[in-house]
Amino acid sequence: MQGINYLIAAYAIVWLGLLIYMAIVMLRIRGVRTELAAVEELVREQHNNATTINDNPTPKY
Amino acid sequence: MIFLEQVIAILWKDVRYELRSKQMWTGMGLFALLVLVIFNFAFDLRVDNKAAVAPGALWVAFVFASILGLGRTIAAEREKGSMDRLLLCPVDRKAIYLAKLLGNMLFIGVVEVVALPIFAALFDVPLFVGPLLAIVLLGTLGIAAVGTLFSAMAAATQARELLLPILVFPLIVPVVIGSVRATGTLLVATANEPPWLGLIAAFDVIFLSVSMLTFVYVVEE
Amino acid sequence: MALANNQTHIEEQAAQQGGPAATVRLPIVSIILLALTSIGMMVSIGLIFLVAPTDAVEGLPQRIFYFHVPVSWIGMLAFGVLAAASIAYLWKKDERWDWLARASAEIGTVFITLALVTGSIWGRTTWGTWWTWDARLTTTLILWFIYIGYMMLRSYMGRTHASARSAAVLGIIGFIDVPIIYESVNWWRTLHPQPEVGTPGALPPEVVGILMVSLVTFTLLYCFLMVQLYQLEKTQMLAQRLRASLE
Repeated sequence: MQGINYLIAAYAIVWLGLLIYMAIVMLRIRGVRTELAAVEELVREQHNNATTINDNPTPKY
Repeated sequence: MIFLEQVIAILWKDVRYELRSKQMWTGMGLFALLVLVIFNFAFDLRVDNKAAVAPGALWVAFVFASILGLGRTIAAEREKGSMDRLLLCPVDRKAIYLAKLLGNMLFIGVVEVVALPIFAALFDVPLFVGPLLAIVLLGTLGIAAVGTLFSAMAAATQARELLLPILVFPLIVPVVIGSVRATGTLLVATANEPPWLGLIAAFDVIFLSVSMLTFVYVVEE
Repeated sequence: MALANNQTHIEEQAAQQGGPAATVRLPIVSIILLALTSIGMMVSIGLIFLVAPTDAVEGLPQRIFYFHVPVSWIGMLAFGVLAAASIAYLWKKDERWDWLARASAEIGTVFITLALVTGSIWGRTTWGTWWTWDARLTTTLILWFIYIGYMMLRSYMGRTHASARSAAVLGIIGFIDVPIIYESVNWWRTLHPQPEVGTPGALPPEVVGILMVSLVTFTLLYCFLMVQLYQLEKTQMLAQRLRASLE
């Protein structure tokens, strides 16, 4: 009788453990993708700023 | 030949530096003795159980003292920046490793030479048994071989005193098991004992070579 | 002009490495692996609880074996992959091998932890104690410590080349050491025989069959997680590089 408790406990731990871990991994992936998108946005902004400056170059003497 | 000269040169430099400041040796020696004394209280040694506990006490003392010593040498190196200067010279990295290893073994060896007679006296065990020196030597070599490599690794981190034992202890388990059992067999002869000394020797050969070859990857930028 | 060119170049690089091609490829592989794993899990659970024969000696708890063995096996496999990736990294100096090593280390840690827990519970049902210093369980524990040491080293040293190299060395040394550790604990154990966690003797074919199904399922899970973590490492590196190029 006690045996089945241990059996269920063992399987439950493995399942929960793996599911929680997978959830954590998915969250981390989402987080990094957001960060990458944000950084790419910053890069694009800087790129645009650079090109707009170059569109109106200051006259060289 | 050049290789050997490099090893000796670096080793001599380290030894001279350590001879000047006697801090480390005295500290390590005292530490080893304290561990032995505490073991006495922890295990309430009597004549009948001392044979079982004594080898363990001895090797715990050696292992902990070794870790202390390993940590201190490399920490001092990094602080002085001498490792970086050494790396600037066209010296074979394997020579650096070997020199550090021999230096560490020398320091730990001094501690062991001091601790053994005390150990023999405290635990009332016969000391001058031939194979004991071989066991102590090979065991210490195993601990130092792995420890020297990882002390260089841990030195680059903030929590180096914490990280070094965490990395080293699991890896030296075969050496600890072997040394304790081999020392135990010396005190109380048992039949059908596995060849512990052979195990330790094999461990030493393997990890000395691997450490020497991989040391370059750990210190090189 | 130079500044503008610089930025476009980096953007192009980023697009090449982690852009549309990679992100389109990723979901398909991942979805297939995830689907296969899920199917495998359901099949395994069905087999384990409905089809598997009950052990005469141990009774019901013996079925922990069908999860414990694969989980331990994957923990070992992950370590092997870690070691192989470490050697490849030191040899080729390509950081992608380091991503592989890191991913495998993390997954291996999780699996070995589960192996320890299931092994302990199984030992409890068989022998009444939560822990026994038998060769397999002890070596699993030491392996766990080595994994943890690896993760700590990476955490302390950060995302640098030095960190990758040192960790690779640790991986290689650990891998060489584990068989030696196992043998030495085995020798030690023969002097003081410990209760052993495991099923001694030959296994009937149905048991082996179900075990194989479970093993394949967990291997698929491992592959799935590896793909996820590898992509995670890659994206993280990309973000870090891009951010650095801004300054």
